[in-house]
Amino acid sequence: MDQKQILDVAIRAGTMLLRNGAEIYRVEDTMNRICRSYGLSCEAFVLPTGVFISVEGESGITTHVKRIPSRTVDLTRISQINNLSRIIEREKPDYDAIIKEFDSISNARKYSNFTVSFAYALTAFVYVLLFGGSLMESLSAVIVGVFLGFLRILFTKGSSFPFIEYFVGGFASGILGSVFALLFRVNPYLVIIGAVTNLVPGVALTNGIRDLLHGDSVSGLTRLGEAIMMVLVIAAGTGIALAFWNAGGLI
Amino acid sequence: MVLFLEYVGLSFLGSIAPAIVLNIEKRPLVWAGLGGMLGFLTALILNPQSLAFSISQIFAGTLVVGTYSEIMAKRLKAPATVFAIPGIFPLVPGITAYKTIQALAGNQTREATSLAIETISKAFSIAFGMMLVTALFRAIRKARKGIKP
Repeated sequence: MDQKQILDVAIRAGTMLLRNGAEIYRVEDTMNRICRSYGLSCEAFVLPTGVFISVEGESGITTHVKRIPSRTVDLTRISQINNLSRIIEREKPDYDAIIKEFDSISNARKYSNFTVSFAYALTAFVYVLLFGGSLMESLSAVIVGVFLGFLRILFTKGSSFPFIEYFVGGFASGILGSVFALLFRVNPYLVIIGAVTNLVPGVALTNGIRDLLHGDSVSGLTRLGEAIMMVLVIAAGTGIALAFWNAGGLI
Repeated sequence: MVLFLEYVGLSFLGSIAPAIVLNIEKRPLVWAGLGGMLGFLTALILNPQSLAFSISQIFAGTLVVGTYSEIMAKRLKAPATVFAIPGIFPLVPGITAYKTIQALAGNQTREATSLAIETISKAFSIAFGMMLVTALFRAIRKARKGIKP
């Protein structure tokens, strides 16, 4: 494998990890490992929005930069890339074999939209009960959860602002929660918070703090800022919905 | 007792459902759910009176989830994150966040501020707990590697 191909493998692994929500140190570590197992010294620099890598070998210094436009969390892909990097370290396969592996990972099966919407509903149901809600409250939250699942399908097709999904989600939960409060005499706040558990960026928050504690301060603060932004947007959505509803004097 | 069993089931489902949203593989799915259950029950046993966990309860639960994740990562050959992220879900300070929003909507700004700080402290205690376990296991692994060759 020549220097360019090694660099290509490293940057593919790095971008795929970052795009699927891995921590910064894991991305840098994986890229370093891949280069080292082919006998190249490399310098990887990773931000939440891009990957930079530079290797030094026979053909001088080669650098590659890759921008990451959007990130989600996908535990399957993180785990599979992790396995692949182990295989690369152990067996040092050739370029074509690795690229084939990458293709099969990026084509790996995802849960169907139906299953994910069901998971949204289940999350809402379970968390209302865990927060001390009644059965009626958790069943109302299920309906809100299903609605949030639909919103997710709608927004994965691409939207111009990444945060708009959270605002709309929060607003819809606020309105629906108030409607259920009127219809079934349930506590609207419990219904809302149970359903909104689906949107709360728990992963981004903990990953951000973990990056910070690892010393990746730039990435840590970026992710933390992003997570706080998401929470604020959700809170703004629900808050505005509730304010509208209260102004109507219906609760 | 019935209530206890209810929480066992709820915390198990409460880890599995978000894990599906995060596209977890089928093989570690049940194990991730078990981790979340263990963490939640640890926190619950420390103070069975209330479901609003304190910072120390959340910290203890996170330590259990973290240790469990590292052990399962070794067993099932998957990164520890796969078990840790769904596992901490039942510990995420949802009730505190709920009270914060309630206070905000009720125009009680002072109340909302102190609740927001409480929420953030709880989130940090989860991250610190996770970090501690990761660092410990890494040190153990390094020490073992140093002895072997």
